[in-house]
Amino acid sequence: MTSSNYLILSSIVFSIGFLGIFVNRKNIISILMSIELMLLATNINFVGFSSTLDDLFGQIFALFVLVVAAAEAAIGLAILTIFFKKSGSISIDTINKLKG
Amino acid sequence: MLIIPEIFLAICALSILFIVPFMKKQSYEKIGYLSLIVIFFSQFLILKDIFYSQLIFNGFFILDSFGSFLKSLILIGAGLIIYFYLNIHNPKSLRRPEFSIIFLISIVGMLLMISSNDLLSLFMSMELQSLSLYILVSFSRDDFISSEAGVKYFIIGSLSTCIFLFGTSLVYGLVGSTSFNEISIFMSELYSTPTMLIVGLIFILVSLSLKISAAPFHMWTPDVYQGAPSIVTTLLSTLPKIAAFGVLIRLLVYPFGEIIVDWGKILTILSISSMIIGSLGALRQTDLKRLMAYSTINHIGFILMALIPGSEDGITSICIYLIFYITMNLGIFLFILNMHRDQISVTSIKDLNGLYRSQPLMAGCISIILFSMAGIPPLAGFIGKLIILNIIIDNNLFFLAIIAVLTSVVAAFYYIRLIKSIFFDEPVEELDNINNEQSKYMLCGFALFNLTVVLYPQFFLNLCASVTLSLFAVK
Repeated sequence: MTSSNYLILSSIVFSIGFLGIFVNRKNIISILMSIELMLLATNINFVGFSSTLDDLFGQIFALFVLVVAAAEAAIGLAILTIFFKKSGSISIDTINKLKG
Repeated sequence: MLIIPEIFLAICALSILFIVPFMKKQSYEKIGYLSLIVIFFSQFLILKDIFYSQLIFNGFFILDSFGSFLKSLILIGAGLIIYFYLNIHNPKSLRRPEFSIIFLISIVGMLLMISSNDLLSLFMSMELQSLSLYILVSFSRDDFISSEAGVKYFIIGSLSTCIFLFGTSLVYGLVGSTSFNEISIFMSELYSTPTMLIVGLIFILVSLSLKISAAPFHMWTPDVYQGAPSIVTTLLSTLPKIAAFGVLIRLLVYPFGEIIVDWGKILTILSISSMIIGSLGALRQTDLKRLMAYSTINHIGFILMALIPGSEDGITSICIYLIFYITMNLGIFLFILNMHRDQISVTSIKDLNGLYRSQPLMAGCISIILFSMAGIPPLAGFIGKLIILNIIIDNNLFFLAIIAVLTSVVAAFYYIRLIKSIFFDEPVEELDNINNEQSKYMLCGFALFNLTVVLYPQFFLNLCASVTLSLFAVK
């Protein structure tokens, strides 16, 4: 398998995640899921390149990305909990107090 | 062993976190002063090694005077912000010991960001910084808009992280390594630039412009600045910008220095659009913090412009502008932090009306700083703008210089509108007098600094020129 196949797969997954943030108009949890999807798409890239280049560094990078993704999900959910306590909903339509 | 300041700061932040539960009476002030002392000591550790230049941790981090200079600038700003925090009247939700600890951790992230010499270490330190900033923005739990700003900042920040990672993975796939030195060697052996590299660079640049809030990636800035607690807005508008500019300069000048034609075009678009949006967007604002957000975007456009030639002089002028930018912003925000009516903090522009009648000294200081931001000679902001415009004209970028001057004129309008309402408008209800002496003295100090820089501009020029020399010595 050549590296272009990995690249096409990861680009498709990344685009799905990216569109998920902008097209999605329902709730914030699905935005968090889209962010996770984008981070994992980059992991496909790193691991794929790592195997084609025969270089271990990409896999190490992928492990670091996984750690950061976990930390980010934790903090995102914590912020979402605070937001839910105040607004009583996690729908995107409730994020509209700040504009101008 | 030369990365001591960061290690010291991180260990101190964690040990403060450890001792907080064992304190009998949890007072946020004690922890605040403790972190002030920690910041002071790490400043000393940085100044001790300011002339060293060395790769550390197997090339993951680099230590040079350029980095040390920006780091000491960040630590000075951090010390001042913690000092503001301890001296103003804080709402109850901010009076927690965790605030200073998370603040310290974000400072560690910024310091590591500046000295990172590998895309992996850059990614990790950028995450350390932004994860702690997400928490700080949504810190005021009783406030609805603070948590909303937190959600917005989190989503945009994570998006920026994903984009950065995707760009990094493309660069890794092409070069086979993420070390800046390896990338630089790869670039120098290249005959034509591969498209994948340009795409990767564009991804990385987009992510960094989300961090420095350059237009067209600025949309989160006004909302987050308005929603976050004022003390966090002070932090957001100053220190992360220095760190992100440090990264941007190091990344563009050293590893990607060969393809200056390609990134020059991208930076031109970014800088022109941020100058225009920063000046036009602010015209209709009624909230002071929102106005400052647009003002920040305008200044960022100005600073980006100086990076386009990629020359040593340009980077010197960026360092000078950053020093002045911080002093002006800290001065304005110190005043915003002290704007109260009946013990409740207010941030509307209308609240400034007739400030001159009740507090003439403060009105004078704040208008000196506003004039300086507008770039009126002979104040500090004018000198910064003059140096940057000089370099732009020397490089024959006349089009950019004309746009810079025109947008500065538009920007001057809204600064002077603030001064008009301070001096000439009738007050509806007067603000509370600023009753803490420290804030008054500091505000006078900022105004005095802006006023007297014209007497010794050579000092800043020489300092920044000697610092940027180290950046180019690596090549």
